[in-house]
Amino acid sequence: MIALLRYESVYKAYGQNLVLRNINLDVQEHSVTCLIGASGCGKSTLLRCTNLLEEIQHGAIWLRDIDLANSQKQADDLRARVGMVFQSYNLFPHMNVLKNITLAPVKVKGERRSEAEDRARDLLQRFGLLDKALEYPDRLSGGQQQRIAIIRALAMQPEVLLLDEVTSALDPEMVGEVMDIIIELKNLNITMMLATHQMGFASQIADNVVFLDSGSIVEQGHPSQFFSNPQHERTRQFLERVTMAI
Amino acid sequence: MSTIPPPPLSDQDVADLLKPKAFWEQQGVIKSLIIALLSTIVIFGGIAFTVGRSEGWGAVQQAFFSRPDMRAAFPKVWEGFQLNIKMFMIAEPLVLAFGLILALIRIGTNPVLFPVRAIAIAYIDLFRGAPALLVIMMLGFGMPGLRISWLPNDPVFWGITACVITSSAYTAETFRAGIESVHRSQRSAARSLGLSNRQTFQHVVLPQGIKAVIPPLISGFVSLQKETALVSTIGPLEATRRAQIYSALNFNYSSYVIAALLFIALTIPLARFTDYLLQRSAKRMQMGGLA
Repeated sequence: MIALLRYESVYKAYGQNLVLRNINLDVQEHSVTCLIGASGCGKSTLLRCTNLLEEIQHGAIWLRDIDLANSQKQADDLRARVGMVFQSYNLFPHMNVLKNITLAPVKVKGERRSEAEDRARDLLQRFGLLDKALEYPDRLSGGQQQRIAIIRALAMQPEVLLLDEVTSALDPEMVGEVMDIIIELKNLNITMMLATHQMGFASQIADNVVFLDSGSIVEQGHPSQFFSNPQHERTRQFLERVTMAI
Repeated sequence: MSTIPPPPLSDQDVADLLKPKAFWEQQGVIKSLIIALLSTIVIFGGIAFTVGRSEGWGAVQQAFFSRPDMRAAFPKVWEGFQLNIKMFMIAEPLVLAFGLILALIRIGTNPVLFPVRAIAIAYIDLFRGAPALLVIMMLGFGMPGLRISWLPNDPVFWGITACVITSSAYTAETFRAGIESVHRSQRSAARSLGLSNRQTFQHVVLPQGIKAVIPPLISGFVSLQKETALVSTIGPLEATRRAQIYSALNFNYSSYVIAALLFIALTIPLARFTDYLLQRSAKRMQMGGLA
């Protein structure tokens, strides 16, 4: 089976600082991959590189048969095929919810406005947010904003959805509503990669858990074995630290 | 401190706590009002007393605030003021357009456009620093002095041009500040959706950047209104020039006061409008506290 995303020997540096070292990873279609690791281990950078928001210095990132990292010319088209949701929601504050969701489908894909709005309303309805369609982002709670941001990414019908610590900025009582929407997306067979600090959530949703430390993949595996029987000393130490914190 | 906790408030007491209070019922309001009133009386009373008792007040009042002179000067000054309004109305849209273009050139990064960027930076440095009065005189007297047949001779034309040149340099920097205040994460979000660099700028960065600087832009409108008075130095019969003519003929400065009142009357609505915009954006920020 050919992976939907394949990372081959990816290196990424910010100036003198190497943040990704020799990343090799396959992401299967319809699977959920959870990236875990301490802050600064490279999870977010890996996602940002996948969405071409950052350049890599060496290696290849294949989306099916296209090397994302080495195809600058069609970068905008490729970005549209990869959806991304950020920790800080990043909704456009000067547009209402409906406009936030339809901007890219109309401007990038050239959909007709009425068509794009119909689809946006369908998505909002499915996730229980239809009554917010005409609100501006600053009138919404963090949880609502993050759910809208996920819907905004989905409206482009991306082949893979990247979620960068999407619950980290939320109040505890709002984390659940965002997790629920991600579980729903898994049930819809949407391919996802998520960087997360929530080990419980990772073990519940992931098909593959990837542990990064100082920019390298230390260990990966199905959550059933990854969490109960980690192979590496560094993984064990990390898991101990985070479970103690809880 | 007693060992028994005090009893909880009755429902009636809680309702009283929550009852909206009239303005004067709020704690400390009466005291604040009295203090404000007293300090106002002391300060303004003191100024009025000192000025009114001064030896020359009668003469000053006659020279600047003479009612008959104000009435007599008003028709001409008002006629001149319409020229100020006309110059302002023509200049302002040009200032906005030209200022925005300059700002866009300045923030660009395309290496091909480096020479254009260098010119824009030099232009902004030059005309933001040069006094408007000098630019007005150089264009108003210098350009016709060149005796190039196809150049216009009209001082109003050169006055407006000079106002546009100096104000647009200021306005360009205001626009640039607004555009640069938009957080990088907004760009990331737009690019991640597949929007091109240009689309991102047009639909996401620019609207937010302009919105952020609407109050300082309006402040700029107010300065431009006043700047039109400087055009009087090259001849056009606008409000201050009319006032000057009246005062030279009648040995009385009340005509200037009339001109000043007209300028003030025009700027106050704009100032209140700016306050309203600032207040509104402050309110929106507070609502963000829920998130």
